[in-house]
Amino acid sequence: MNRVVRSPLLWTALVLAILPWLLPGANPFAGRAGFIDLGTTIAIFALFAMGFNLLFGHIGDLSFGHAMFFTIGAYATALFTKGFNVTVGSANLVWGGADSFFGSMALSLALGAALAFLLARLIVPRSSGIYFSMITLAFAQVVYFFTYKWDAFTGGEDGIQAIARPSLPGFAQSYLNASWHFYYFSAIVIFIALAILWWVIESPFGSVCHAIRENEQRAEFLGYDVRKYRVNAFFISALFPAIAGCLWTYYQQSITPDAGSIEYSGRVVMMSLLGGIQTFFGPMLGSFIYWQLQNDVSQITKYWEAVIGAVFVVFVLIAPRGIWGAVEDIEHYGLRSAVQRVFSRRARLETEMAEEVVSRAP
Amino acid sequence: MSQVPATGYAFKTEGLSRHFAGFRAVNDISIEIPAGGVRTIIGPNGAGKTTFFNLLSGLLPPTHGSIWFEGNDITGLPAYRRARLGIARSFQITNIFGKLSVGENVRLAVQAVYDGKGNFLLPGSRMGGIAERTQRILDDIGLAGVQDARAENLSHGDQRRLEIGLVLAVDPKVLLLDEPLAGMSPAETQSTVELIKRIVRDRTVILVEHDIDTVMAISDTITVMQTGGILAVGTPSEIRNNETVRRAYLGDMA
Repeated sequence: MNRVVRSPLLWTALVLAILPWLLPGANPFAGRAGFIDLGTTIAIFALFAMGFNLLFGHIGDLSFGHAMFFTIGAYATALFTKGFNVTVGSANLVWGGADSFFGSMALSLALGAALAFLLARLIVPRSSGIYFSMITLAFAQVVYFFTYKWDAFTGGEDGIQAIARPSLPGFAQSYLNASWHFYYFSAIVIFIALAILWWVIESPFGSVCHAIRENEQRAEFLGYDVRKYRVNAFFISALFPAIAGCLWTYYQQSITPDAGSIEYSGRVVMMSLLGGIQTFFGPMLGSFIYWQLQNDVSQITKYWEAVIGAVFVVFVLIAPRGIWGAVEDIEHYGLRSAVQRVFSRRARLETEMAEEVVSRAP
Repeated sequence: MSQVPATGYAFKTEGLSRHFAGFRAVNDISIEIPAGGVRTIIGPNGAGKTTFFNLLSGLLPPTHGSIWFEGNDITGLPAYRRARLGIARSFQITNIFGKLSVGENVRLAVQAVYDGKGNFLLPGSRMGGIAERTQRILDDIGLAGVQDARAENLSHGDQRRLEIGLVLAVDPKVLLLDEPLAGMSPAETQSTVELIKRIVRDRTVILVEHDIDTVMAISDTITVMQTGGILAVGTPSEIRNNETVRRAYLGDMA
């Protein structure tokens, strides 16, 4: 029973089920679409950030370009749904468009996976640390400008508009046009993806990722092929943003190059850090806080980004392991020592010495 | 577990050198380290002992020369491939997974044997015997009682023992231990020496150590290094009575 109660998958399902009603001021009976929309945004970005965080928080490689996989999923879905007619060299590529959620998802995943496969083998073995971050950023900018400049294919700056949501077999044509229908449809897709992500993190593969994050050299000298793990983690972590991108297009029913911008890449970094990068749920919590703040503060001031930035700085200073990490520390050390650990390195040392004395007492 | 190979040596080096910006940390060493037993390397600070370890284990590539392990040239192999051949090492400065639990540390080391063989996306239980082996190692290093503690919260001596446990857990043929006794209390030293004696029954232990009394007590052979080269090789009593070594290093210590 305890195992079930503590199962993160159960909690994931529960949180996704009630997310739109968790938002402050939400009234499920008022029938206002706003909260459902905010909930949808939070859930899609939670998937984006949690997938990204497999790389950032679990194996310890900071990519500053994961929006490229998000935008690829988003544009794949838009173009698959709307169709295109574009001339490349002397060839004329025509696709009439299709109404198929599974087709869009498969294409998003296939293109995201192809790019991730290429970059994982190109970038990861050759770089780490800050160089890795910079190179991922550079490649993301290439993808961004590709969507931004190729008017005939991607619609350029204006992007692609009026993308119909997919029809589902057995449901009316416009079923997903209702906000809350779309929310729960997305929530199911996101739950399945997060269940797979949880399984990856809990597998022996995931624990080796943690070992590499903690001490790459020790892992290597135990006989782990560290490079292989970094390549695979990069590849797997790129698939979740692609799925999120597919949902994002259907949710917005339009797509613009923004989706692949440096701002989107940075946003998931911020969400992960806010929520706690060494945890499974951290980035979801980060997504919740980020969008809630954006929603509330932007109604008060047009400088809402500055306010979010300030909140971010405060959190990083007082809770370097993120909010979820702080909760874990409180659980582990008790509230008082956890607070002391934050505010005083000296107090932290003293606490540890005291713990040692106590543990050695007869 | 491991058998003494037909070649009769664990490591063989030929003209092995490592230079750092002109400084010859290891200078033209050709040596065979026999398989089995405790093989200790001593020498004054800066003699090149740790650099020699780093070359054997693959942390550093040599400037010149070659390294052989049980009849195979391993000069160009990356560290993880050497580990898979059965070469495991500990570090002078404790090198463990500090934020992970003691049990998780050992489990990761036990599981490393399966890298490249088992499917790592399947639950660990399918890789047979990991839990049992982890428990056995924890018992062996005397840390079974604290397996849920974070490794960074252990005492210094226990962290050193945990690192030996990690090295032991990958079931190596050769253990390279870099000053395993440094900073240990007499009691901790005693139990670690007992541990090394148990380990060496079916493996080779190559030791860098400064505690000269312990070295004399547990070594089968001692290699004395000085300024990147080898000054002398012999049994403890030979080394103790070697005039050159006495003058260069031991002084009145032994």
